[in-house]
Amino acid sequence: MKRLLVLIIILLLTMIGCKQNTIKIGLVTTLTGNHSVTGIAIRNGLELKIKEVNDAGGIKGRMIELVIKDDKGDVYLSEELSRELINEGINIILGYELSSKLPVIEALSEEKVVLISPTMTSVELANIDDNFFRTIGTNFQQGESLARVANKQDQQTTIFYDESNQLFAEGLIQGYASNFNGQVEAIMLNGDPIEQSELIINSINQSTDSVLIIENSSDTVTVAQIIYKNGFDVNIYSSNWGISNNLYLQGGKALEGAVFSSVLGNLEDDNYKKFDQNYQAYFNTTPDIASLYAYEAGILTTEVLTRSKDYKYETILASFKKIGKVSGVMSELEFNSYGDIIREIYIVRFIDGKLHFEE
Amino acid sequence: MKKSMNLRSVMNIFYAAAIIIPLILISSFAMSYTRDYIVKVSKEMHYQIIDHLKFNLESFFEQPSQELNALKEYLMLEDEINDELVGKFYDNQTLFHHIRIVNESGTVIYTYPQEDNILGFDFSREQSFEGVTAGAEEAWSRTYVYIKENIISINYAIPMGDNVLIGVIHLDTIKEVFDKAYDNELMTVGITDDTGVYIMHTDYTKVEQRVTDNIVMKQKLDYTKVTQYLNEYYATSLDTDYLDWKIVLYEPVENLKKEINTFILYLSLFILIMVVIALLLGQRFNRVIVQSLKGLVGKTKEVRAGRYDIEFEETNFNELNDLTQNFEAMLLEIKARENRILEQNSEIEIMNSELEARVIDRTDELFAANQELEIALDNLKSTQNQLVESEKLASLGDLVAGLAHEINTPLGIILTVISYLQETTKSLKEKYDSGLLKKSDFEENIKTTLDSEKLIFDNINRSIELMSSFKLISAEHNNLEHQKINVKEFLENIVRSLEPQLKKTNITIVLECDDEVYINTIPLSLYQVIVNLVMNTKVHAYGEAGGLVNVKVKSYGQHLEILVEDFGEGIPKAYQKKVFEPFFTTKRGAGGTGLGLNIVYNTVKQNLKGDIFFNSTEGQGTQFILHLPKE
Repeated sequence: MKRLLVLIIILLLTMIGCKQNTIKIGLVTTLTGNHSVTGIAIRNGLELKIKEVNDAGGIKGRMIELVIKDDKGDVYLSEELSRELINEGINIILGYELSSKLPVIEALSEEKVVLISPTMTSVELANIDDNFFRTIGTNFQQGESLARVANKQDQQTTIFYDESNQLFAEGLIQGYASNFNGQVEAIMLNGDPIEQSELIINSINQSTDSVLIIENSSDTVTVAQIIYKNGFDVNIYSSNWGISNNLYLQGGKALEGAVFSSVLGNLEDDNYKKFDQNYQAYFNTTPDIASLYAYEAGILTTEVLTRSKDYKYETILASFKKIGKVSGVMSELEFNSYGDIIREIYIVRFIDGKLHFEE
Repeated sequence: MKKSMNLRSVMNIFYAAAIIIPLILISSFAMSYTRDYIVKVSKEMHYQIIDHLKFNLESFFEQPSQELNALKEYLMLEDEINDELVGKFYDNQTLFHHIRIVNESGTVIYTYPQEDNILGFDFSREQSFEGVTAGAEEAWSRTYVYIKENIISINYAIPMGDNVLIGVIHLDTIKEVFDKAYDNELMTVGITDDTGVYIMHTDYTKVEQRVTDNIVMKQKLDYTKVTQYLNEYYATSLDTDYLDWKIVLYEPVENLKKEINTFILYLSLFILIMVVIALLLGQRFNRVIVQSLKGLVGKTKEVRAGRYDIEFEETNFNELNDLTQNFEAMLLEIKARENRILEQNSEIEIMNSELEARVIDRTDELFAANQELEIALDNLKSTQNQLVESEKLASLGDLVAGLAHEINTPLGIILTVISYLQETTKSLKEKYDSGLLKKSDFEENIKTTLDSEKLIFDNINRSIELMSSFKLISAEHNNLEHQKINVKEFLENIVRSLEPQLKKTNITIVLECDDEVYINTIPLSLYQVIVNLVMNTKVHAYGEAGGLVNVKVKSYGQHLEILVEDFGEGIPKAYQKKVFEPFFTTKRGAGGTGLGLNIVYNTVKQNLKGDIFFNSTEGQGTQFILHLPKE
């Protein structure tokens, strides 16, 4: 009788043990609302990576469970949801797709949690020994890259930027302005660009030969349409924030020839094609660029978890900081001692409905 | 000894088993059937829900065509776009969020409600526009998020002359249809577009967040067990006829398990209650039975103590009442028997006394008889000894008779020869006296005298030999002391002494013995043994026909083996065990006393300190084997 009791207890404990055998990581991002395109793309890219890891047996036999929270684009909600996840014992949270979420990063800097963004480019977070890591270069670098292209042909650039992501815009503008040889004027847009059509039209004068749109993908398309509709013959530049599949569907001819800064290199790369193939097989659609950023953030995270001897915050943080190099999709991801990534910014041009890599 | 058990415990166990076992059997069957039934019901519900949804969805897809074509017909009648007409149309419908007219180059030329800001926008790459301009009579776009209102939308386009008439549908219009068709909180249902993205879902955040269901895109689900986000579900899907949309339903496996577990729980509770009731009833019943039995046990104790006047109470059970009645009857019977036994006991005592007296008398008689028997036995033993001695004497007598006969012969011959010589000598003298004696007569007389001398000499020697043998044997007869004798010489003497008798009986003895074999023994005893064995062959083995008797002697260390072997009738198996018994003989009528072999046996065992065995086969002969110590 005693032996039977012990056996039952062991079985129960084993079952309990089985139940606890997942590694939870959090995702706090915008999945609904105006900026949801990036958030959804991030979620998908991360889900793909996690699925691949789980299908291969997980990390040391333990499956990864992604706990997803939608902050609806609200910074306060983003912080609140992040704290909820921390209280659940989660010590790795990805997301924070826009620089507007910077206050959340700052608010959580003392918490026992590692924060990772695949897309936040704010230069303010660079070279700081903190708990924040990212797999994307800075907005400043993007501005620099775009300015180099503009220098070849342009003299005056009007910049339209989204007030809701001002931090991102400011860093990019600085990068652009500090490298552009011509004149720069920055115009802040607040809300739906269609409602500010008049402002947009009035901001473009005869001297303007180029427009830099620092908006999300949909609003980038809208601004481009307004410009196209009004017959302005200007070169259009945008950041990686503006890149999504919507460009083709909604951009039409308005975006033909537009130049974007991207962390993606040559999309003909075999590794990218393989990623593209896997993504399409899973999601039945082509990946957004943010999906790739998120996928690479997933690579970084799972690599850290694989190298860590346990999953306590201190161990994981130390592993992140000494990760050094990790193989990304198309290149190696190299991190400095602060956990900042060192990567190139590429220029892609939208031609005939597709983004083309420019050498 | 059989191990006894407590009746109450056994009955309790029995009651419990009588309830539990059938209940377990019924429950096992019920659970198995119930599980299958629950699964079947669940599956049917799946089919019902998604079929219903599909039907409603199909209605939804037919509507835009009807409505937009109706509008198109009105618009085509006018040269210009009639705002009022479009307004009326728009107000009378709920499907389209807004209407657009796009020219052949893809530029938006009209919207209702009016949105001046998008007039002039390029829609040339919009899916539904591309479909119509490619030649389709109607075309749908892929679903997309209408960013302004964060609503999933879809465009439906039809050609209208050179232009394209596009209706923008917000898919929350089908939410009502969706909610009506589905009313089950335990399951989640969704509709996915051609990329697997939810365009409708019981959890609308999945629609807002553009979640992709990649399970439904990979396989047809028919109540299939799948794992999604590390949880297990039973999933069923159905393809609609439009745009590769799919309806998919997920039911957590946990739900079914819960249902089954609930059933098991209720069933277990039921079983438990039944068992408790059974045990309680059983206990009550037990108490009655056991009390009645204990009562009876008490009564038996009284009976054991000798009290028979016991009163019995009636119970509620026929069997116990039967038992009580039978017990009462038994009690009376016991009492009656006891009385009878007592009576019989006194009779027995009387008989006992008489018996004792008789026994004493009888014992005295037996004692007297015993005394007489003992005397008789002594007499018998004495007689036996006398008989044995007589037998011995008889054998000696035979020997003397034989010897006398034997000596008689040579003596007779001597007498005859001498008589003849007397005659011949008288004749010769007459012839000499008469002067008629011839040389031939004298020569013949010499020859006759010489022949007669030889005969007389031979027969005198023969007589001397016989007498010597007899002397030797008779001397040895009278001597029971041990002597060392040469076995061969001894046996040869015996043979010679027996010659007369052996001739009469046609028995031939062949002796086989080494010259230098000696034995320290009682010669008389050995003589008796050998003679008895040899003479037995005449009586029992060969009869009048006679035969061969081998006497073989072998020396084995300190022992001697003497074999006396005949090839006669043999001893029947039935008699072989008795041959050495005194007075046993098969020739009683023919003069056999039955003591011969008994004497041989006793002589060998007692006097010669040896052993005697025999082998006999009927019809083939008998071997008597003597094992004698040399010293």
